[in-house]
Amino acid sequence: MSSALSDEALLSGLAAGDADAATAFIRRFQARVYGLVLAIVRDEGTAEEVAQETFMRAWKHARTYDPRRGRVATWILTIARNLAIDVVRVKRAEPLDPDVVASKLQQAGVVGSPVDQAPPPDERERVRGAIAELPSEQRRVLFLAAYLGRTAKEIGELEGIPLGTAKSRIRMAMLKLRDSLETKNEL
Amino acid sequence: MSCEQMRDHAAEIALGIADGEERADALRHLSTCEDCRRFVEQLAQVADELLLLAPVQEPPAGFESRVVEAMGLQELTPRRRVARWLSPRWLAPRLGPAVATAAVTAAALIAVYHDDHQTAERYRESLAQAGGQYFQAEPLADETGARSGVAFGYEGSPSWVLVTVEPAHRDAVTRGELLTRDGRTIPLPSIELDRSGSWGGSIPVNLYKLASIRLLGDSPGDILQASFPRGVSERN
Repeated sequence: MSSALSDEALLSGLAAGDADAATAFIRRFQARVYGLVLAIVRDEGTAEEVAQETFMRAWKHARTYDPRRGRVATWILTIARNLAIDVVRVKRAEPLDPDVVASKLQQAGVVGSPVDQAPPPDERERVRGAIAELPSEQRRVLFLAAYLGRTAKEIGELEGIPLGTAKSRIRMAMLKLRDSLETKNEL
Repeated sequence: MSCEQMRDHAAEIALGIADGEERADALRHLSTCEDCRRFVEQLAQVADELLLLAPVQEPPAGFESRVVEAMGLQELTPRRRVARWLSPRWLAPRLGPAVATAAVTAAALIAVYHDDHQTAERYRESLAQAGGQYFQAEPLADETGARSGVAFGYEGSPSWVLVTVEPAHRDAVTRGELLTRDGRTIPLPSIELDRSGSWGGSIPVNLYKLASIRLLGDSPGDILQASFPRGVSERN
């Protein structure tokens, strides 16, 4: 059942309270949700709690999902990321070095992931390649913003740079990624 | 906010890290400027691509079951369990060949019982083939109300019950009893769970007269109970 149905169909089933659809939905996304959360909170027990809460939120808010605003995978990973960031902030964990997250994200190896859980390998490699081409200072602010949800002000404080510089690095990194991905798509 | 200012803030808007005031100003501008809207959408796609790069790692075993249980969507569990052990090989020595055959035929009922997508006609058809009226699957709970297994009941001639118990409670179960709707208690003097934590047998009353089944142990607190709501035939 899980491999045959689209992400949207499974989400509809989840919204309707169908146990089979819920199980298939969780199976499809659990490794990506848990992997992202673990990269941010860095504690397996906490990561499991946050991953579970992510699916609970997805279940409760499944009816509000709007396919025009992005893929299901992005939607649930955004929920996971925001919850993980909240936990890290509440626990006042030591500031996470963006290079630690960056290295995890740049790892090509995928541990035990079913075929239908991850984007196609070429898509992941394409994004990884584009990130690798960024100057290191832009890569750092990008990870702080995209994965750790840090604002430009927080990034400035963490990196010891003026607010304007932080904003500028975020903007430059995003524009270069956009151009780089567009170019790679055209090839 | 001008288009130039909007473009300065676009990356932060797309990443969801802009502060409230910036976001409000940007949204006002975007509601009237299609070019800037398209620009922000492009950057939002980049932000999405970044999230899709999330590292992949399987959570600890049993994660999906715990989440589905937390959602209160536990119907899947009985169906899975029955699929595993509702076979002639498993049932025949416990129920006798004739009842076992009926039980296997009734296996389809479990899928029907738990699947809203099946039609009532198919449900009736399956029941007719099995020679019974209805099939029930109810949760077993310990004294605190925590889930400890599943009890299945099949209404036929004879009716029968099957239980499967979670690992943590298996050692404590040694006997049981049936409580009928008219207040009788029918002892089940010896219950021996197999390696999968399951036991089954025919019962001396029709299922619709059965109020609950209790699995008991040697200590007073060793009580697992499943209640059977009034059956389909009685409700109709």
